[in-house]
Amino acid sequence: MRKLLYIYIISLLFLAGLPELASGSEADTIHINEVEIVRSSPVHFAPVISADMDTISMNLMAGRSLSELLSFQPAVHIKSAGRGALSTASFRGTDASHTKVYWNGIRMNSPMLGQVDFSLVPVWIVDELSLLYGGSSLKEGSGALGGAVMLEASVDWNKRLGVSLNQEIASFNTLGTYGRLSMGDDKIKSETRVYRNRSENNYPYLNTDIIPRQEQRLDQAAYARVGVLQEIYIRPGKKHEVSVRLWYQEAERDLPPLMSQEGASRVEKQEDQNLRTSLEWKLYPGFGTVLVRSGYAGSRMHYFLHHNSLEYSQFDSRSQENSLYNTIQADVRGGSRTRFQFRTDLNRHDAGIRDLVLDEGYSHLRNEGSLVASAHREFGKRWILYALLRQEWADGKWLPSMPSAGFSYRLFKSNSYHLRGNLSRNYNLPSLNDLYWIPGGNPELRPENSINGDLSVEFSHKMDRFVFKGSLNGFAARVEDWILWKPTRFRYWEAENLATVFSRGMDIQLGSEISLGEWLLTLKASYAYTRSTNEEAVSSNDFSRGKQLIYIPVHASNAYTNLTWKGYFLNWSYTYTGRRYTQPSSEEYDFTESLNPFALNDLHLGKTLNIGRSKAGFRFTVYNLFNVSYQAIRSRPMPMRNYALTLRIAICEHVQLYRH
Amino acid sequence: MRTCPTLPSLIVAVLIASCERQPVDLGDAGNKFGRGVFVVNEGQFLAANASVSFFDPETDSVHNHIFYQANQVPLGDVAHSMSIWKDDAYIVVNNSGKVYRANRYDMEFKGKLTGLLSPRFIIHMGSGQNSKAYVSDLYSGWLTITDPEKGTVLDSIDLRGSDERFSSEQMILHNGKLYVACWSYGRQIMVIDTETDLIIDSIEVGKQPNSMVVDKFGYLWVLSGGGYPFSPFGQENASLARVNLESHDVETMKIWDDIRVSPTDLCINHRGDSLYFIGEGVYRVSLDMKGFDKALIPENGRQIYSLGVDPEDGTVYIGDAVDYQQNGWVYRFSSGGTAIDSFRVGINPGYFCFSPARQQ
Repeated sequence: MRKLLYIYIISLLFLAGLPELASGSEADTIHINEVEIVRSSPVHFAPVISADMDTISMNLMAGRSLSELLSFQPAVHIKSAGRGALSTASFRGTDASHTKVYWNGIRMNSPMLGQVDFSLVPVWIVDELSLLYGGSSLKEGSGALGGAVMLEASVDWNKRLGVSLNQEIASFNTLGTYGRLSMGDDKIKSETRVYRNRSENNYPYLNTDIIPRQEQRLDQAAYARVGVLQEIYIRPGKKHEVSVRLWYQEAERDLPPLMSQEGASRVEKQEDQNLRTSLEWKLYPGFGTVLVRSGYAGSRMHYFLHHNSLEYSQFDSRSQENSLYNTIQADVRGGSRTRFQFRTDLNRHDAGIRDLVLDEGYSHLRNEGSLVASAHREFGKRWILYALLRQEWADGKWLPSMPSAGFSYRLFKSNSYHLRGNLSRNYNLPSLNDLYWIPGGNPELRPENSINGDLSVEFSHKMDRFVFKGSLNGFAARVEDWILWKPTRFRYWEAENLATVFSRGMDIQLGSEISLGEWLLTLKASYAYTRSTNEEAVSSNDFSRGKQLIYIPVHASNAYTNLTWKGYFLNWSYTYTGRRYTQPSSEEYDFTESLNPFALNDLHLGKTLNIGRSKAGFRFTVYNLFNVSYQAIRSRPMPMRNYALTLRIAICEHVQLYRH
Repeated sequence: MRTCPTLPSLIVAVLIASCERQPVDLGDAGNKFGRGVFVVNEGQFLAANASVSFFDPETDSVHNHIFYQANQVPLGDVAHSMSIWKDDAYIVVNNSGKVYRANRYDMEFKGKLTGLLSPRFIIHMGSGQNSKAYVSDLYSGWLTITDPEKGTVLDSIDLRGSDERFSSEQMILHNGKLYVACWSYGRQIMVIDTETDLIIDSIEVGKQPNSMVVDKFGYLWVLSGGGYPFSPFGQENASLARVNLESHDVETMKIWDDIRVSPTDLCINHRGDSLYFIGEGVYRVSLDMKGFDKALIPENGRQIYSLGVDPEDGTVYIGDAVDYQQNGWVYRFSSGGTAIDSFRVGINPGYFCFSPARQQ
C-alpha cells in the first residue's frame, strides 16, 4: 500500500510541473454494460495518435455543447464569442479551418466557411468523442492540419428498451430538455434522441469598454435550439450491418454587439437549419471488412442585421449548402500480421449565399474525390509499421500526394507502454468563401499545406485498486500557404496565401483512479504547451516574425477530481487558459493588445437513486465558482458565476447516463 | 484519507501554469498635446482595438494609446476620423456608433454623441449658441446635425432618395455650403445650405467619391475610386474631377486608364497648390494635372493605408498598416518626397488630424 501511495504522489508531483489526461474510457473500472464502439477501422491496430474524451466529462456535459466539452482538452483551443455564441476550435496552434469534424464519418465542416461552429453541436448526440492529432487524421480525410474531432454513436445490442430524460434548469433563464429512447432486439435497433435548449442568456458583466464603466446585462444574446436524431441499426446476419441516421437541428440566436457599441438600436440574428443523414452498410466477407456509406448534409443559414429606429436592414443574407458524401472502404487482411485499407470518397458541394440588401452573393458547385491506400504490418512482438498514401482532386484538379508513415513500438514486454510516431504531409482546400466570396474571394488560391510530425508515449498501469495512465505527446507542424484575408486598394478584403506558420509543442495527460470499498476517486490533469509562430515577415517593419499567432495560448491546462460514493458524486473541474495576444506582433507591454490568462472552476455534485430497474437522479452545478471575469475574444463578455440543476430519470439502465 | 495529496498538488500545478508576465503600463498619461498630429488608428473591424496616437514634431516624440491612457477605457471598434474644434477633439468611432468628445490637450473624456449607425466624419461650424456639427454616416441615409458640446441631436438631413439611400462620407464647408461626398455606391456630391440645412444641389462625379479638397483658387477636387470588381453598383475607371463651386459644374476630369487603379485619400498642401493622393505609392499632382506618371513616394513594400499633409508646413505623413493586424507605422516625408523619419503607432493608422498650437 505504501508503494502504491508513493507512486501516486510521484505521479501527481510530475503532473504539477506540467498539468490532462487522455482517454478515460479504458482507465475506468466502473462496471458498465459492454459497449460496441462502431469505428470504421480498428484504431488499436494503427499507430494513430489520438485522445478519447472520458465518459465522466461526457456525462457532465451531456446538456451542453461541444465547445464547452472540448474546453477540457488543452491541446484544443476553443475561441468563443460568448455563452451560446459562435465557438471555433483550433488544434495545436492551427486555424479553426484546420480542425475537421466527422460525425459518424460524415464531414461537418461547412464547405463555405471551412469551419464548424461547436456551439451548435450538442454533446447529447454523441456517444464517443475522440481527437485525432495531426497526420493521424489523414485516413479519414484531408485538411485537418491541426487535427480532427471524431463524433461517433455506439450501439448496445444487448439492450431491449431504454428511456431516459434529462431536464436542466440553469441561470439566465436557461431550460434544456434531453430525451432518448432505445428500442429493439439483437437484429434491429432504433435509437431516438430529441433535445430542446433555450436561454435568455442575459448574463451580467462589467462593461469596461464604455465611459463610465458600468455593470450591464448582456443584451440580445438569447438562443434556442431544437433537434432530433434518429438512428436505426439493422443486423440481418452475422456478415452485415446496416445503419441509417438522420439528424435535424434548428437553431436561432440573437447576436450581441461588442461591449463598446453605443450606436443605433439594432437586431442582429442568425438562424440555422441543418439536416444530416447517412446510410451505411458494413459487411464482413472472409477477407476483412467493407464499408459503403452515403451521406447528405444540408444547411440553411439566415443572418440579418436590422436597425429599427432607422427602418434599415444592413444585411439580410441567406446561404445554403447541400453536400453529398460517398465512401467505399475495404479493410483487407493480408495474413495474420498485415492489413491493407483502401478507400475512395466522392463528395459534391453545392453552396451559395445571397444578400438581399446588398444584392451580392455567389454560388458554386465543387466536386471532390479521393483515393487512399494504406498498409499496416506487425514486425516481431513490438513493432507495427504503417504507411499511407492519399490522392485527392477537387474541381477537376489533382492535389499533390499526401503520404503518411508511422510506427508503434511496445517499449516493454507488457502491453502498457507504447511509443508511437507519425510523419505526414497534408493539404487543406481553401473554403468556398475564400475562393469565391464577392468581393475578395480569390479563385487563384493554392491549398494550404503542412508537414506534421508527432511522437507520443502512452502508458497505463493497473493494480488491484489503482489505475494510473497517461501520455506524453510532442508535435511539430509547418504550415505553408496559410490563407489570410487582407485589404486591397479597393478597401475590401481579399484572401491570399500569405503566411507560413511553425507550430510545435507538447502535451501531457495523466489520470488515476483509486477504488476503496464504496469510494471511487478519479483524478485527471493535463497540460499543453503550444508555440505557434509566424515564420515570414511581410516587410522589414513587420514585427510578427517568430511571434505567437493571435488567440493561441502558449499554456493551457485543466484538471478534475471526481469522487463517487454510494450513488453520490462530487466533481471539481478546473481549466486554465494562458495569455493570448490579439495582434500578431505579440506585444507584451501593449496592455490593450493581449487578453489576460484566466482560470475557471466548476463544481458539480449529485446523487443517483436506483429504484428497481429505473434510476432517478439530480445534479447541481456551479459554473465559474470564483466569479472570474474573463474574455475569450476581446470585447466579448463571458458569464460570471452561474448555476444549473439537472434532474434525470431513466427507465431501464442506460449506459451513457449512469456513470455517477 | 488518500485523497489528501491530490488537491494541493493540483493547486501547485495550477499555480505553476499560471506564472505569466503582467503587462506594463507605459505611463504616458498626463502628456499635453499641442501643435502636432493625432493619428487615428482604426484597429480591426470587430476587434475593438482602435486607438489614438499623438506625434509632436518639435520634440520628435510619439505617444500611443492616449485615449486609453487618459480614460482607462479603450476607444472602441473602428475609429474612423477625428476633428478639432476649439479646445476639443472629436473622435468618430464608426462601428461603435458614437463620437467621443475629449479635451484635445490631454484626451480626457468630456462627452459623447451616441445612437449613431455608422458615423464616418464630423465637421463643425458656427460659434457660441449657433455652433453645430454635421456627422456623416455610411449606412443610415441621414446626416446628423448635433450640438457639439451637449452631444444632443439637433436635426437630421434625409439623404434617402426615392429608391436610393445615399451614404455620406467626407464633408467640406465652403462659403456657407456643406459639400458631402456620397461614397458608398454613390457618385454624388450633395450640396447643403448650412443656413437652412436643405439640400440645394447635387454634383455628379465619378463612381464612389472617397475624398475631396478645395484648392487655393476655390475649386473643389473630388477623387473617385470607381468601385470594385463585381460590385453590384458596377465598376468604372477611377477619376479626379475639378468642380467649380460657383456653378457646381465639373470642369475637368482625369480618368485613369487602368480600371485596377483605385486611388484614395486626396489631400492638399499648405499652399493649396499641390494635390496628393494614394495610388500605388503616393502621388503629387499640380493643379494643372501634372504628375500622374510617377509616384512621388513609392510603396517600397509598405501597405500605404492613409495620407495626411500638414496644413502648416506641407510635411507628408503616410500610414503603413503593415499586415493590417499589428501596430502600424507612420512615415514622414518632406513635401518634395524626401524621407524624414518614421514612428510606430497603433493598428491600421487610417486618419491624420493636425492639431494647431494652443492659443494663448
